[in-house]
Amino acid sequence: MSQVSDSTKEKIALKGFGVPLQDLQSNMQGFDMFSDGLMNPAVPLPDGVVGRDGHPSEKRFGVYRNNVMASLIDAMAANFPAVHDLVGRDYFRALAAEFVRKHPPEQPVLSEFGGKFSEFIGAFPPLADYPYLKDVAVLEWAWLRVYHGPNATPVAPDVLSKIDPAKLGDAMFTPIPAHRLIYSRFPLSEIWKQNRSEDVEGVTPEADQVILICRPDMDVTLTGLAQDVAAFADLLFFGKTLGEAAEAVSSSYKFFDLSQALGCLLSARVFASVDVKA
Amino acid sequence: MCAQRVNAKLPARGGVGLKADHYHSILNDKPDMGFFEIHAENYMGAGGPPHGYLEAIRRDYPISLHGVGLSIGGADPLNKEHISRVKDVADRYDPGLFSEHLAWSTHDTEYFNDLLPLPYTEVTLQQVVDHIDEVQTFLGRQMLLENPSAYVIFKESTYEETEFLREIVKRTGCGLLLDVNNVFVSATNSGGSPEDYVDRFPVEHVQEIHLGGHAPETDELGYPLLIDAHDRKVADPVWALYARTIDRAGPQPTLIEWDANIPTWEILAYEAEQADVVIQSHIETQAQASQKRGDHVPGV
Ligand SMILES: [Fe+2]
Repeated sequence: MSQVSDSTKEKIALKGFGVPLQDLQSNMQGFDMFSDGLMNPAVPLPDGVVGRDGHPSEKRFGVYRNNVMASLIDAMAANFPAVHDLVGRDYFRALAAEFVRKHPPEQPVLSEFGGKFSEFIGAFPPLADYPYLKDVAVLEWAWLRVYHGPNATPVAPDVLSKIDPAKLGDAMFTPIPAHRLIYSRFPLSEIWKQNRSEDVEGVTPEADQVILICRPDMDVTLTGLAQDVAAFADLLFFGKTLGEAAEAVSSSYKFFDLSQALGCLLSARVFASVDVKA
Repeated sequence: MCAQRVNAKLPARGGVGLKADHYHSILNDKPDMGFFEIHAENYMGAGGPPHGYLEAIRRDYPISLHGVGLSIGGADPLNKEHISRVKDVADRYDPGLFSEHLAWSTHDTEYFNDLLPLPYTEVTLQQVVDHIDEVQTFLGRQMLLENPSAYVIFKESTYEETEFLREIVKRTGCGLLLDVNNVFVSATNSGGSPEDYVDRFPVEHVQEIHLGGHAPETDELGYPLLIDAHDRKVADPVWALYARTIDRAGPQPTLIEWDANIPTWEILAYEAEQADVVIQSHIETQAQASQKRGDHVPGV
């Protein structure tokens, strides 16, 4: 690379508009100062940003501080309504404020803000006695990703009747992109029903739960899966053939019922296509 | 998929911000509404219900696309990925207009989700001009720039806001979105005259108008401090200022912004009808005046 002289660098910085470099620098400092005060009330008010008497005004700058914090907390409440209801409004706002200060959004799409919230909750000492909250946040984040995920048309639940039974073992299942599998040792489906007023299909009585979230059309659906069905689904999603997946799962779960498992996943409409390997 | 859509062009009528609360009323009742405005950032997911509803609504109504996250007024380079996501939304819905704010919202990777103010100087002028050039080039279309609402005054500003905007238009060829409530809020907060502002505004470049509700407060010195809250009806003095604006700028697509404490569809639609009433009475007054002068009035 060729050497760039200092004067050339300066010209690039100025983009040829005759603005002295020191003005550019002090301009940048102005933005720095304004930004620093937004999330941290302990930072002094930015210089030269004033009210009608020519002096900095706590109340006026406070409008921006309040807008920033309140709107980001609102966004978190919209993305995590069940966590909000479980801890209560006041606690949630304090918790979300802590989170926002530690992990402010890095881009403007707020439905994509809060990916680190479950981790934050899991590591938040005052919530150590409520370990299920982290999993609720994981589930809500997954729900949001599925809700906004790509559309795809699922195959009809009777798709297997069109496949030659002799070749069924070679069938490969491609899931629709809008799906997630969430594992938890807590009764998430109960928590979900109570706090999001949405049903969860086919829930098993065990506390250890796997929930399949998917969006076969416009509505997001949740289906509770037994451990063996979840293990089977996971292998199919990973690209294993029906035969390979069934064999692997049968070896660790001796009561695995293949046709029941397939029925469950097909009626959840999580597959976009079923193809037989040539 | 987008076979039978109405024309993209926005009529010079009242329109409203599209809210999820109203998706069903709109699709079931097909109300008579000039247009809907959407926030680009709310339609940046890959798929799902927001796109399903908007696709259906777009068949029957033109939309204007309003960005809140480009940070045009900031000192940092624009977020390229975000511009490209704005373009995706524009390509998907063919909006009649695209607008953004004379404000910033991102600094050093942090996104503040608020429209923050900037001083009006030679340096910031050049930054804004460069950013608008970049956006218009990338999108391949003209954008409108909206005047902000402000709660503070920058001592270092060397331009009046109206002159700053005029200069931006001259250097970029962008259009303007005149938010009349923002004019009222900013002028009141800084002790200026909203009427003077409207009278000085380069109205020949205005292609859209915003109206919204504000919350009245006071600062620690007892001066009025209006908050651009978009949480209530448009205030009476703002309607009066709007009529003055229409007399200067002519009939324009006029959006009612109501983003918090969202009302029923009927209340929101009523606000948009009030804008239609003002536009209609302006048109009638113009027609009467030109009849008196003996001008030829088309269609009369
Ligand atoms: Fe506005």
